[in-house]
Order: sequence, then C-alpha cells, then structure tokens
Amino acid sequence: MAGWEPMLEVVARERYPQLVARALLLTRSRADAEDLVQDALVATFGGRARFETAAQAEQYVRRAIASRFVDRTRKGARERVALGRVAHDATAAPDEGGLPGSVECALALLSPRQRACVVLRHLEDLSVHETARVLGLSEGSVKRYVADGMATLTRVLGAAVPPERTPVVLVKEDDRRDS
Amino acid sequence: MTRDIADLLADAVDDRARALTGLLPTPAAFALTRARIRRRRIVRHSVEAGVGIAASGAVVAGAWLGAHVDRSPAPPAHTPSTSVSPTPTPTPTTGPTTSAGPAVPPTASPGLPTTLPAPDGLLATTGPGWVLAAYRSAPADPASSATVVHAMIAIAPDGARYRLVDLPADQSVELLDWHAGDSRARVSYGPSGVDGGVTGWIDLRTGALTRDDLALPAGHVYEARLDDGTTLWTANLDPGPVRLWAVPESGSPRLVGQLGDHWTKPRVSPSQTRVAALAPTAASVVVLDVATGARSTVDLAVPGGECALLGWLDDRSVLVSCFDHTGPDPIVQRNPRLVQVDVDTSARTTLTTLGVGQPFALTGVVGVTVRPGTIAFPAYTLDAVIPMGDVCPNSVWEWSGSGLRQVPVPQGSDTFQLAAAGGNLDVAASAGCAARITPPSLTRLAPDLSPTVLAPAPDPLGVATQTTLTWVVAR
Repeated sequence: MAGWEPMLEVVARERYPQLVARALLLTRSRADAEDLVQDALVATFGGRARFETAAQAEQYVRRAIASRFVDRTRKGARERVALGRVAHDATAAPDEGGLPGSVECALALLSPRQRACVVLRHLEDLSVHETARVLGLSEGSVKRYVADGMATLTRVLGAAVPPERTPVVLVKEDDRRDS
Repeated sequence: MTRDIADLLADAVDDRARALTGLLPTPAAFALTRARIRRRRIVRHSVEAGVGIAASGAVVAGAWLGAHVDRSPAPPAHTPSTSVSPTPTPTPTTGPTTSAGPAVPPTASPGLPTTLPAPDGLLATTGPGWVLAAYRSAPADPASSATVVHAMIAIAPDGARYRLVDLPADQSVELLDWHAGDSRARVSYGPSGVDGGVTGWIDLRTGALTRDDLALPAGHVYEARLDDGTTLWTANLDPGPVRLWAVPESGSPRLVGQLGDHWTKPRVSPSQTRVAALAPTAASVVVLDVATGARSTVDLAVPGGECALLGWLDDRSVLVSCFDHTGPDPIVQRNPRLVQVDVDTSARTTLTTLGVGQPFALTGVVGVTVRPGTIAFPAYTLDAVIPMGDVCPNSVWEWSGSGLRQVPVPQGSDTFQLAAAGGNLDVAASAGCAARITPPSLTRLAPDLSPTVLAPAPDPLGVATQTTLTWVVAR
C-alpha cells in the first residue's frame, strides 16, 4: 500500500465525523458536507505535503475544507448569488443530517467567505495572514469578512469576541465587492 | 454571561461529531476519493516530455454514464487484417502491412476505446509517432461484480488501435518509455492501487514483467531517457534530499547531484546537458549539469510571489509563469506574467503580462517543449473575477516566440496530460479536478493544430468505471 494510503484510512476511519461536523459549519446539507470533506481529502493527500501523524494530516484537511468551500463559491457569479441567497436565508429548513444548533443557524446568516474566515480564525485559530493564504484572499479582505461575520454572530448569539481579535476595519471599499 | 465565539464553535463541532459517531464514508465514495488522489499524484509525478525525450503521460479518470464517450462502432481508418507481411518494415510506418483479407470488426470493452486484435508482427512495424497505451478500467463501486479490464494497446498515428495483450486485473502498470519497433517497454509496476511500484520491463507480446536491477536507492523514480541511451532517475536517501542519477545504457549508475528536498519533475534542456527543477518555494529554479553535477540556484526574483516552471525555451533559458501574492483578489490583478529567465546570468525578461482571456499557469504545472522555442502547458484562462486559489486548469496553450496560442481541447476538460514528439502535441484530456470525473480522450495536434483522435473517451458500456490511462510516444 502506498505511503499516503494508511494515513488516509486512519483519518477517514477515526476523524470522519469530526471533519463532517466542521464542514457542516460551512454548508447546511450533510451530503454537501461529506462532498466537501472528500474534496478536502483529495486536496490534502493529492498534494505535496507529507504527514508524520494523522493529527497533522487532519489539520491540513480542516484547512482544506474551508478553502475548498470558498473555491466552490468561485465557480461563477450565478452560483455565488445562489449560495449567498441560501446562506442568508436563516429560515431555510435544514437539509438531511439532523437539526442544526444555534451556532450553525447563526453561521448560515453569513456569506460563504465570512463563514470560512470566521471558522479559520476562531475555530482553527489561524492568523489573518494564514487565513488569507489558505483561502487565497488578501489580508484586508479577511479582516473585513471576519469583522462583518463576527458582528452578525455577536448580535445573534450574544457571544463575546475575544479582545485580541476585535476586528479592525482597514480595507478599501473595493475589497467588499465579492463578499 | 456571554461565551467566547471560539468556544461556541468548538462546542457546535463536538455536538455534531457526537451525533455523527460511527459515520464513515461509503465504500464507493471512499474508493472514488482514493482514485482522485491517485490521479492527482500520478499527474504530479508524471514524466515530462520534450523534444528528443521519451514522451509519456498518465491520466486516471472515471467513466460515468452520460459522459462524452466513444460510442462509434466504426473501425479505425487504418484497418489491417490479422495477417501481416512476414518481413517487418524497417522504416517508420503508420501501420502494419495489410493483406487483402476481410476486415476484422473492432471490439469494445467497458472503459476501453474500441480496438482491433493485434496482427502478428505488429510491433516490429511500428515507427516513431506510434503510441503505446495501458488502460485499466475498474468498476467505480468496489462491491460491483463487473470485471476489471486491463489491456495494453498500440495506437497508430492515424488512430488505428490494436489490443496487444491483456494484463492481470490486480496489477498496476505505468508506461515510462518505449522504442519504436521494440517488443518490450520500460514500466513501473506493482499491485494495483499502490504508489511507488518497482521499475522494469514488460513484454508486449506476453505481458510478462521483469524487474530492473539498477543498483539505485530504493524508491528510485524514472525521469527521462537521453538520446545516447542514458536514463535519468531521482531518489532520496532517507533522510536526505532528492538526488539525480544517470544510468548509461551499459554501465553503473552515476550520482549526478542534489536537486533538493522538494522539487517538480526535472526538465531536460534541449541539448540534454542540464536539468532544471522548481525549488519548493516556487521562487527559484535548481539547475544541475548532467555531466559534471554542477548545481546552481537561479533566483526568480519574485518576493511575495511565485512562479511555475513551464520548460526550457533554449539551452540557456527557461520559461516561467509568475504572479504576485499581494494585490486585489482576482488573479488578473496580481500581475500574472510570462518571464524568460537566463539560467546562467539570472537575467529576467518579461515576455508578456497576462490579461483576461490569456493563460494563467498554476505552480506545479508541467509544460512540454513541442518544437524548439515552443512550449505547451495546461492553464486557467483568465477572467476578470477569478481569485487566486486552488483553481483547476481549463485550457491548454502554447507559447512560442511570436506569442500565445490556445490549443483546442474537449469542452469541460479540467485535467490535462501533455506529451510531445515529432513536432506534434499529444493531449490526454478528462475532467475530475473540479468537475465530475469523465473518461480520458487522447488527441494528437499537428503544428497547425489540426487534430487526430488517437483514442476517444472510452464507453463504459453501462458500467460505472474508473479508467487509468498511461501512455508513451515511440521515438
């Protein structure tokens, strides 16, 4: 068996529920979430990186989930509009996969990029620079997406924004055009 | 009392994960994921081909009902009978000498293009431009009772296809090199589904495999064959950086030098005296002299940016495609450009900046030298909005001194493997990078871009299959 295959099997066997759960923060359908995880596994194990441990590989997969999610929103304006519409429809019924929690419902109020940026910054604990690299965005855009996303989440969930992460709006208006 | 958003997110994931305890990918979905990974790894490791270098490529693709497929029952244009001249033609030909016997109808198998039975003596009549292809077509669903089709096929320059020999279903064979007229080919082989098989030879008449005995480090990888018969190989001693070896046609392996910890496929210069590979930062190129082992690192001078090494333009310079990391999101606003780099002086000349409707080559893209000074490469055709990211190619382009030219490829393709020989460009095209997987087709493009379909996308014949195609062009 190839060097990458045992690691892939370990990640899929032991971490699949956690990975799908992460993907469900970004997309409301479990089928879409599983597709996203599969895409992320392909991106991770089909790339150049080598992994010493399953945890290391899983970390890459988590980031790839967010980057693949954003990539999917880049396929075209029509799709982007459709995704945005669904994402902002908080009344939309959850897809197969069980009832979403309040956090997932609140995340559904955000645009796809806002969701991805918030998840990477506040769940994966990536820096603005790292988030920008993972998602292929400028750092200014990341700051804007996180700021807007956190404002919504704070309003809906009443959650606290860590002081050190209080967003600072520094970007030009141009950076908002594809949010 | 409010809670930190990070805690809320983590709790949401934990709750969800608990609710999903025991969830596993379905066997079919996981098999497809493995196939897609192999596909990417094969493409990434595929052998680069250039003028004078054995041309080969490999594509893995799934064939799904409803995909664009080969449904034509028509026999190839060049239809031999099952008997041939007892005296093989010593000069290059487009097909075996035929007799006046009745035409044999082509046969079809799931995941294979239609083929004719190979007449006796066919291999001896093959010349430069013939293609040797190995198709392995397996059911997409591992639980399916459908059989695996694994066959070696010879393809004439006019698209006539001959089924040479069937191979074991549990075997994986990647073609590396083939001399026209030879009844054996160099391959990498091993149990199916396993990377890093051993290298050796396959008898194209019987399918028998013979292992190489080259005294190279374990895990050595075939890279290229030079005109004098010398073959180039890479391997890394564990631990240690990747090194390049040269193996003369008769003699012992010679360590050429060190390429680095990470690298793209080394590309051989037109005079075959040097190889170049992209350094892991994608901001410099490593150049090794094949004779002396002299190593130099050429800085591409792209602070805050990166480049793809597309190939050698001439003996002194390489073509790279660069962009900046900084700037607005759309790639087109990140100064994408084609640059000629003199590997001796590090002098850089921007050949053109790339705008909407022009090709953006991703880092890691493999180009091929089609003719002296002309390099073909897969790319993403830029639009005004596509941002930087893990985009898939959607087109193939050629750069020559006079500019860029788009190469026709099947609509919807997003995975390409290129090979060049005799001034022609061979393109294996399929989908599966971002789009739904489709089976590969193989097309030859003449210098005027007129196409000859060497092997259309195979018809799955009602069976959802994953098809692996690996091929080499004879020279």
